Amino acid sequence: MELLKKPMRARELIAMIFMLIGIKGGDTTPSLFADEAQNALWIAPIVSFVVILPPFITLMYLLKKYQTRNLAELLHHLLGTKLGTIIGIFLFVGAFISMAADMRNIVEEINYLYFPNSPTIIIYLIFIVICLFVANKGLESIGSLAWAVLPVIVLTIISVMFVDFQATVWQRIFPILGGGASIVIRDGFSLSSVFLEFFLLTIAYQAFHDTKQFRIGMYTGSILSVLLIVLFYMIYTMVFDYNTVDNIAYLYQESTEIVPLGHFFTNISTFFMVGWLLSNFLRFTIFLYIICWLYGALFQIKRFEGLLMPISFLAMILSMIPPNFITNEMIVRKTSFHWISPIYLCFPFLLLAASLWRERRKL
Amino acid sequence: MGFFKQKKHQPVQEKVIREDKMPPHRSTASLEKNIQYLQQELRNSTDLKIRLLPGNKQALVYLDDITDPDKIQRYIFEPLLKTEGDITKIKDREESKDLNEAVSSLLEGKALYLIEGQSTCYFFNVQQNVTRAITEPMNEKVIKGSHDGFNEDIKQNINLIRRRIQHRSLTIKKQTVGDYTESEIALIYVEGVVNPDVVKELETRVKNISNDALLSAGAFSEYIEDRTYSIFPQFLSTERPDKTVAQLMEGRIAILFANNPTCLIAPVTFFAFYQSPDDYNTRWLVATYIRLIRLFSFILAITLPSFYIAVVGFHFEVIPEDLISPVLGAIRDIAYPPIIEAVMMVVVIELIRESGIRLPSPIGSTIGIVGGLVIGDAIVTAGLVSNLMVIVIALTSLASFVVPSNEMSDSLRLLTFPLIILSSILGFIGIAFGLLMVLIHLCRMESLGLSYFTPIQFRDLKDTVIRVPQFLMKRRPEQLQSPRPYKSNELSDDDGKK
Repeated sequence: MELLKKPMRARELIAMIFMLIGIKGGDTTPSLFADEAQNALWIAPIVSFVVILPPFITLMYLLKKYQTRNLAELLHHLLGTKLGTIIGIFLFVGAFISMAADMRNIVEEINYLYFPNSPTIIIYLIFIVICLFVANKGLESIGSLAWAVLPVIVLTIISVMFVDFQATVWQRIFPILGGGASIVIRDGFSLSSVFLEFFLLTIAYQAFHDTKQFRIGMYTGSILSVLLIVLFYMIYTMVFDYNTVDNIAYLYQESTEIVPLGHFFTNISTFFMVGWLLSNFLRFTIFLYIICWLYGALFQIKRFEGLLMPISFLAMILSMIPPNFITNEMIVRKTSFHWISPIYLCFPFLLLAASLWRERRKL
Repeated sequence: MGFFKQKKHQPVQEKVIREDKMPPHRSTASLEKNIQYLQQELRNSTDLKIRLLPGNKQALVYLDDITDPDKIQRYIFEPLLKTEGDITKIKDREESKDLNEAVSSLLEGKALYLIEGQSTCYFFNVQQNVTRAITEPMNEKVIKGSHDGFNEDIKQNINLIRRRIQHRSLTIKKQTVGDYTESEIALIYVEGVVNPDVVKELETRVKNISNDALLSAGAFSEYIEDRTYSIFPQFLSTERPDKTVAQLMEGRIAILFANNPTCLIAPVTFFAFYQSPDDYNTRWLVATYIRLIRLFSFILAITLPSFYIAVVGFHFEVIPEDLISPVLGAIRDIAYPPIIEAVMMVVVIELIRESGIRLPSPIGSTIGIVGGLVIGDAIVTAGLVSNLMVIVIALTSLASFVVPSNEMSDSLRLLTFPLIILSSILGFIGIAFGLLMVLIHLCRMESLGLSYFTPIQFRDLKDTVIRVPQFLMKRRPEQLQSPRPYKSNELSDDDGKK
């Protein structure tokens, strides 16, 4: 029995964005950037963020203008049911592939680093079950949980940064532009769909206390997460230098591995694992939830929680196709980002054009 | 649960009518008939005394064991002598012509005066009060602060509260629950500070209780709490009036029971179980330090054994290099896997604790020491459990007793088990999963419809995780949604000015 409804506020959204995007500072994404940008590893995400900012602001503007419930409704409203659904499916498929690839990555990482003797599929199953368990409780619970877990994550991040900082050599960020300005910009552009979750989160536009809370949460959360990512990538650059940075897959774990904390604690990386694991569970819980929500909203499925299980298992099966982690990371993930980025960069402008066209027709 | 329902042989039982809802039964003018009816209704109990007064025209009826003979003498016989047998001239009497009301009055400890030829019955309150002295509750002792505590007399308990809040908005609503027991309960709150919706919610929940007997606060709370299947307590129970008053002034509701010294407080948050009246009587820095220790003890109590098991079983790399050989040496010759060791030790600790409670206190502490030392030493020497595991479990149980609330401490000890099992299967992933489950459960929990754990406001941290000086706590907790959010008439915000 619920006496007082607790609609979510900006802080839950900030926490969720932090989990969803900020945590990319600690997975394999930096090695994706480092591949070409080298020690401009930390500039590339800034470029990506700058690139996605105009379409993102456009989308937010349109959502505010039409006061629709969410992204899917906006698509239907502006582009008509058919075209809107088609674009929606593109967005869904993009996000789905990105989620599947990321999930495989994280599972491989857990498997490789902490449970080298266990079969991947078992770790994967456990991972999915945990995510499903949490996701089934609904958005409000996930939001509260994200907010409740946030202190642990922030504590972990701060201590990791503190530990890493001892090993940094600041001169290593030079040359600032790494592989060259054009390469960094191209890299940032093609990998801009690293931030595609920003667009996806607009599916929850009206799930919050009021839409103003959503906008505040969205902007604050995105800036904080990008800052975190940039800071982390910068630290990686300064710890490893350009030669090593693009040869290491798990920069986060590696960076904590090499630095001892005093004389006594020599292998501290595992201490940071619980926080890292918690945040990754939450990350994919949120990701899974919003993807199902998008799907449900596109096809008018009201009780979309029922989709959680089929979609997560489908993602699992698909993501097991690449034969190994390297193929998944360097081919599937990278190529998919190259293909997904244009879709996400263009669709808000398509919506804007449709909106302008509709207005002109009215006149 | 249709499977468990017995559809066919449904037993037939008579409906019990509560004493205060009995249909009236008119008394007659015949003294004999009236007495006969009373005897029959009270099942000819031997403690029903019928004293026929000289002349056999009048009778005094009362239940012997719950009335005070001294009061009967003072309030009935002495005035009767003065008024020469005219009962109508005596003050402090009640009258009724309903014999069922007479029965309930007898049960309350009143004496009944009946006269031949009159159908009116006269009642006199001669109840015998059995009370215990006001002493400090055994399980909630404080170093500084008041040393009084509730006892079994609800009137005295209300007195203790009224003396502390001398304002007209302190509201006390009495009700009875239990068809047979008719236990009296009192809902106490400060009008204007408490959220009226919460009061309404609690009242409806209390009204919906239907049971023959409700004897304890714990049983009562199970009828009105939000999640009966949760491991966490949802009512703060205390026997301290100062704690109760502090909670009332925050905007919470206290529930007192007749014949029970326990006071239940709701709605509560998880953090309320970690607060103690001592915190407000010591320096705020010291109090903050103690609060942090308690929080640390919470984390320790639920994760230490599972952490140890995960490290020993899966993540050996966590152990610092210098410690590897002592750890290896300690666990090398142990026959059982860490989980069996842990469960064994936890059970031993529980046995010692439980036997310590049941035994008289001088023996209890001895058993604790002897049991702990002897068993601890022997179990390590025998090679059943490693000495590291003994340290871990001893620390864990110490940490679980740091919680000021007994119920929460019990819940914590129970919570260790699932985490131990998860960590022995999945290592750190298991711990992360277990913690996620606990957290999501806490996030979804409610106390009287208000949130139990989240949203944790930054502002509320002032009196939860830490304790800041009193003048900085200008607002009531956000969770309670009090109609009077500020603690004073000045609407200044928490800017730190005195």
